Amino acid sequence: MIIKVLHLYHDLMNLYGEYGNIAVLCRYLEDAGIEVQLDKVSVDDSFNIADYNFVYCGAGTERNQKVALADIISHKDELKIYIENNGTALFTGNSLEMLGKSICDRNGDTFEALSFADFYTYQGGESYKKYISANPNDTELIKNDTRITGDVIFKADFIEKPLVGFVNKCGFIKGNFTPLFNVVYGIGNNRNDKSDGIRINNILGTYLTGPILVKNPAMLDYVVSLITNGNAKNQSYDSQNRGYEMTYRELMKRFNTQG
Amino acid sequence: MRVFFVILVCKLLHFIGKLIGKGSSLPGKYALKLDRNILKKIKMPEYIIAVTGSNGKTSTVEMIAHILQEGGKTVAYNKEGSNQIEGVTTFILCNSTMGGKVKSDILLIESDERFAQYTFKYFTPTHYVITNLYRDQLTRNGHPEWVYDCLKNSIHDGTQLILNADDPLVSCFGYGKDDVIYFGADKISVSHEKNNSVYNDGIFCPHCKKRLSYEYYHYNHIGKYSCPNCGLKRNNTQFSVTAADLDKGEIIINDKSTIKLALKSLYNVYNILAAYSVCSIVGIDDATICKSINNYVLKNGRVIEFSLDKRYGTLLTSKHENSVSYDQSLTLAANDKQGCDILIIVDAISRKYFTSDVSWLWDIDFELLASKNVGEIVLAGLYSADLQTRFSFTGIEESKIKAFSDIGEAAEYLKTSSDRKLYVITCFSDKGKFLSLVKEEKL
Ligand SMILES: [Zn+2]
Repeated sequence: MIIKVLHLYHDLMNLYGEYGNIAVLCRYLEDAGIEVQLDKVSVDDSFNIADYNFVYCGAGTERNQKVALADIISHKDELKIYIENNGTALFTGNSLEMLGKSICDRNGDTFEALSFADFYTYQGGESYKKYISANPNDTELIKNDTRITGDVIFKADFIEKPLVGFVNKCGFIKGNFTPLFNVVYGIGNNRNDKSDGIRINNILGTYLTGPILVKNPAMLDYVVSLITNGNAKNQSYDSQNRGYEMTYRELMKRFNTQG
Repeated sequence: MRVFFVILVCKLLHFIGKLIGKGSSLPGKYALKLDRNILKKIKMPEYIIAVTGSNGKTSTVEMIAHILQEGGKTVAYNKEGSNQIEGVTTFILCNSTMGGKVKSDILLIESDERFAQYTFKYFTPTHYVITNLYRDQLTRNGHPEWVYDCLKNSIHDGTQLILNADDPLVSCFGYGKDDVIYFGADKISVSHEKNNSVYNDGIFCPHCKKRLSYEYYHYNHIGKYSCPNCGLKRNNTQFSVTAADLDKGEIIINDKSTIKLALKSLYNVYNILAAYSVCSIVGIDDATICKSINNYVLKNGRVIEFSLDKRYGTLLTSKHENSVSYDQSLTLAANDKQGCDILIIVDAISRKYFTSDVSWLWDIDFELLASKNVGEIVLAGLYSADLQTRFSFTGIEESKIKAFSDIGEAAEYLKTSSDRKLYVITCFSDKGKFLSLVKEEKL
């Protein structure tokens, strides 16, 4: 078996340490005896999403996200077919916002997005004012937040253990879509919903930021099982498991004292 | 509210706070409650120098203060390090007469990057040094462009900007402004053509987001760049490091002034250059600056010599959640030709707030430790397992790496593991836990 991995906008959507996701994924597959071909691409590179078995995009600054968005729109048709064919992809941090209808930034400028799901993104400042004037009864959704940074615990019934991680974003999403995770501790898609991220077939989008597959071995297992249709032999890495257990313990301590 | 009364309250609270060992932001907080505009009412001295940026603020401020004092000026500065509005208010009011006049010739302020916009609503610096913008404490700061936008709100007319020309994002503050002085390093012995860091925040032009081109890098995204698309480029510098020999520990500024380095890192060189520039601008002569900064050993405790039983070592205080700071410490250790062992401690990520996020470990260039100068690498603290995972991707042989979740056990092991010099790389939040186990040596 050969697995072809596409790391989208690796030098642009790299808020911090996102390449760690690709590093642990490739090691896992190789240790399971699977040949891996990794392509790292960026804006203006030519690539065809249909050629791949896994697509990953990390978080970026708000400005970089708009540059990535302008580029990925030119791959919209490929990505649409990829989704319909149950291809696997992971969008972390604000890269998931590209999957929705549009992104309104803090200056109030609106950018058309991929429209694979029915949701809208608001990134602080003027965008919040626009949202509140259109939804005067929904001021709780965003309050006066400028940027949300914080530790989180999420969970999902399809992943064996709760997820730990960090959120670093200024966007809130709102609309009609299937979320990916439930929020146990911390903030999710917005202040009203106790859910995080978005799921479209096997496209996983989460606001978890950084090397989330390093921190969450159970999620790595799950992503690998999607990519390989469950045909990869399970791998386990001691330091990765201990790192997870320790972080989960610390966050639960925090959660139990703070609520 | 009378100015006199507010100052009195602030001074009293500060006095009591000192007796009971409380922080320095509380008195300012109460003063601001009594009068939100109190800082507007204080008579400021001729020069107000502010220093901000991701890294090197405290060291730069300490050196500026030292040079100015050697130059015969009286200086008030926030050496207690509280750099948000409350702390700045405390220190300004405590350095004022009861009539509301700052008592020193020069007010020198280390300012937090995100909070400068609130502080400088009430008064404006005459000189504003911005050192650099890196990925720093992203759990609080978001990311460098976010901090850029916050900092931009703190810049007002009537301020001369003193900017690091070699940092593309920082240089953008000077865009369309007249009163700007740039400092930077020319092509020197340590400049290189490729960026070897784990990531490169200089790939895209901060102005137009097309690809930048670099003639050379000094470290990370610091170097000589230009944008083929919009024309953004490294500005000409009025204050330049024109030569540097880091092995020997010597730099030359503007082809004429030689300064010897107590700390042989390029990082320190930029701090010295920033201090040199602003002191020169406010009228300190070249000879005085060089004399006061020559072989200057920082008193802020960033570099600490110690002995652990029969072993000798150096602790390099680095900032957790700040990969550039780590890279600098790792470079210093990896270049030690005498050979060394390394201890890295990540136990509490911050002493000021809670986070369990270790994403930043993946931005650090631990691959630097693949140097033949490095013997054993010991990883310690609560997050030693996460460090181990990160190290498993460095290509460094597993047999060279040992991990202990307990810092005491790591220290115990290191007592007898070898007789090489030991470098300890860790943060303010964790260094005390190690220093309590060793004997500090005076330099
Ligand atoms: Zn440009």
